[in-house]
Amino acid sequence: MQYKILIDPHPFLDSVQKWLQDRYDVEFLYLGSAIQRYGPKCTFESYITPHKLNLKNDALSRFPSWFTENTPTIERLVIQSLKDQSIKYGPGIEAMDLCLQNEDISLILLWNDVTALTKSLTFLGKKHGIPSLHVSHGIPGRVAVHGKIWADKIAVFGESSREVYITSGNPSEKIVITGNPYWDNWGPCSSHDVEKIKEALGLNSDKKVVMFAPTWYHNFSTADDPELKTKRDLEILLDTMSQLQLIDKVDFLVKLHGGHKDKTDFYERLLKAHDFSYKIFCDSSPLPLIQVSDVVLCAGSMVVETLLAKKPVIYHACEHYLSPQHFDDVISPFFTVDNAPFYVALNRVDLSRNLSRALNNRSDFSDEEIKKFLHRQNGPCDGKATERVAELAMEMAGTNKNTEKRVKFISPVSYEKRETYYSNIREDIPAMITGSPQRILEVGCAEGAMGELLKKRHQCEYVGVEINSEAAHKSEERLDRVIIADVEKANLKEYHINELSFDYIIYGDVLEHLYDPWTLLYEHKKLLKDDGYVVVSIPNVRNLKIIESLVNGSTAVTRLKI
Amino acid sequence: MNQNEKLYPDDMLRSLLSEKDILFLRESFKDQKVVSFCLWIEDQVLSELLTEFNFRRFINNIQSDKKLLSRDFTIKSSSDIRTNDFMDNIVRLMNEKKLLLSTLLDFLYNREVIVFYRRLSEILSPILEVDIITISKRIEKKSLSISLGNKLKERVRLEFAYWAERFVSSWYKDLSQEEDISIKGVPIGPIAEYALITDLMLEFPEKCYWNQEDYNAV
Repeated sequence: MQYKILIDPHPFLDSVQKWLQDRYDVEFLYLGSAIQRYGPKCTFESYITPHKLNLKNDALSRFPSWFTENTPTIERLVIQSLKDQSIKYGPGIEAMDLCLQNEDISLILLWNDVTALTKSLTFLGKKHGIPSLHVSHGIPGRVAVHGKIWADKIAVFGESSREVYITSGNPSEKIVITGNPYWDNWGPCSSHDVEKIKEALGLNSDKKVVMFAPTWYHNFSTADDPELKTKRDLEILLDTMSQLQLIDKVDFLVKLHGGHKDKTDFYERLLKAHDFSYKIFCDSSPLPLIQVSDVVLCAGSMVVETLLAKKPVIYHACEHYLSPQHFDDVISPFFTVDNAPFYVALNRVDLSRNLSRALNNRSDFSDEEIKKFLHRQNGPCDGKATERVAELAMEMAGTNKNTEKRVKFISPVSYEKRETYYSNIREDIPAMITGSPQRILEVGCAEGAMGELLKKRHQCEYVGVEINSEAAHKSEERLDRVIIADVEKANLKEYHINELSFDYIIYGDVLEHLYDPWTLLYEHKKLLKDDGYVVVSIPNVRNLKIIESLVNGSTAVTRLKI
Repeated sequence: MNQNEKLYPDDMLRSLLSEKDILFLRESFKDQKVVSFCLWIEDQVLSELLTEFNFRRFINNIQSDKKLLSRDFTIKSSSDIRTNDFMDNIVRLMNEKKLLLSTLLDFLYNREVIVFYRRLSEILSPILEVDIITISKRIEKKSLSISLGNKLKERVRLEFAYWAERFVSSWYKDLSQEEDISIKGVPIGPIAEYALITDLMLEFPEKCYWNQEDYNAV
């Protein structure tokens, strides 16, 4: 086998595995099998944990005094936790370490880089020079533990996920938008198929179907009472349906998160107290359930799944948030109350009105709004996410020999300034700017290094557009003006950028990242003076090194220069 | 710094700042919402308690990179500002003017403002404890309306979660002597974060940081 991939399997990666097996000489080693294989060969050290936590005197000095008052208890907890975690994960870590020493692994492929075991694996990957790819399996919430990704690359569904990871401190260059492979074949089905699914599920074909898909609240602020919000969500919904006199008119489906099978009894107890006919699902795919539903009440990624299946959604957040502003602060960049192309219920009145409208087939959102939202969540939505993830994996597997080994822990997540491609300076483009330009626009100005050079050279006004706010803030110190925006979404006129006002517009390795560069160029042409120029650089797919990698089996675009 | 020069409270605040704090504040003051929040504090709180503090002047000094006070300057907190009295007065104001507390909590929904406020609390911590957990301890909860009580309670929960998370992701960098707490080179501190935060939240349920017995709201 040319490539061996150590994979933590998950159904949403099945299509990626199949794609790779059909096209490449690749073998998969499952994480569970690897631990089983190497576990018996381990020596199982006795793990050393400290008896006392010698925190520096000032470790808690800037914390609220509550923490200093409770330091002895906190220290005791830390020591106990270290002991427990070492016993729980130590053998697995040893087995993985031995596995990576003995197997010729080309890549570590994970759907989850947040648990102790998988985090350890990515760390061991760095120790042994093996690259790791984390394929995000959902739209991440702004929970710190979701944002700390140690893997070398993160494949995310769409722009909104990318923003979450960046604000969590991950370097933008390690994030790749691929779309969700699981959604490649996701969509509506015919009315004939709907009837067949209803029959298979034992649902009454005359009744409307309301589906509720709760998420289990694992937010740390609710850790001491995680059932509180869940119970409240369900009871508010059942009360509202009763008030709307829907008891005999609907079948009620509850679709639990796959990891919450142990909560089935909890929901069963709550539902039995009401008169609705209901069914609870946990392991099954949500797609057929969505396809037979007349409305889906949910949170998280299922919003996208429901919209892809062209069904109405109510984002059920009744009484979770104190105001729309509070909601936006927690949920964005996923969406906000104002820009959601679906119903958002923050209170019982909203819920009742929205449920009534949805069940009466009222549509308050345009196809265009929904399409725009879906692109933001799931990239191009072109059914090619599997291909993109697979090719990214192969690109990484092919380069593993060059991966730098790391033996000391360095947090991969940092808010500190990093030297990144945002601070690189191009030498080829400035040479193309001739004459005496008065005004230059650079789309994707990064940290403004090239702009600073051109501004100095031509004594001109220099305007930049940059999507990465960290880089943009840096460029603000160098350029006359910087617009922090996604250039495809921003209307530059709203930033008082006038037509016929630029001598040059520069796109340095930008256009290939856009969904629709043609429309953008058409629009931006209006900003150029009559004798203005557009300067564009894009990667050259005929570059010998890229051709070489193509011949070797990788079709992914690399980060090679032109 | 000539010790005979008149010392403004905003000079005192500046004397507490590290270089990193200054960079942070300079970035924060680019955000209009943060500036509005500062001016609101000056107008609604400091105007009654500390008229000599001028937030606008402070912001301008930070933004214009005005030279810092000498680092060996010592704050005479007890003589220049009676910090205990000052804190008592802040809490008294909050207890008297419920709208003040409510507006403060509204401001904190904004992401930039809450980040700024947490950092300001840290900076001030050697002389004043203005973090929400400490303030809420001293608020007379029985006098709060249900909605304001819930609003404060939710904020305190969020703040507790924030500081707890911060602790679990930093303690292993703050040990007084370097200890090898790892298995095959894998550092147990960082990988145990998730389990530890859960342990912390379970060990300290809400009532530990919120005076539940004094609370009338649902």
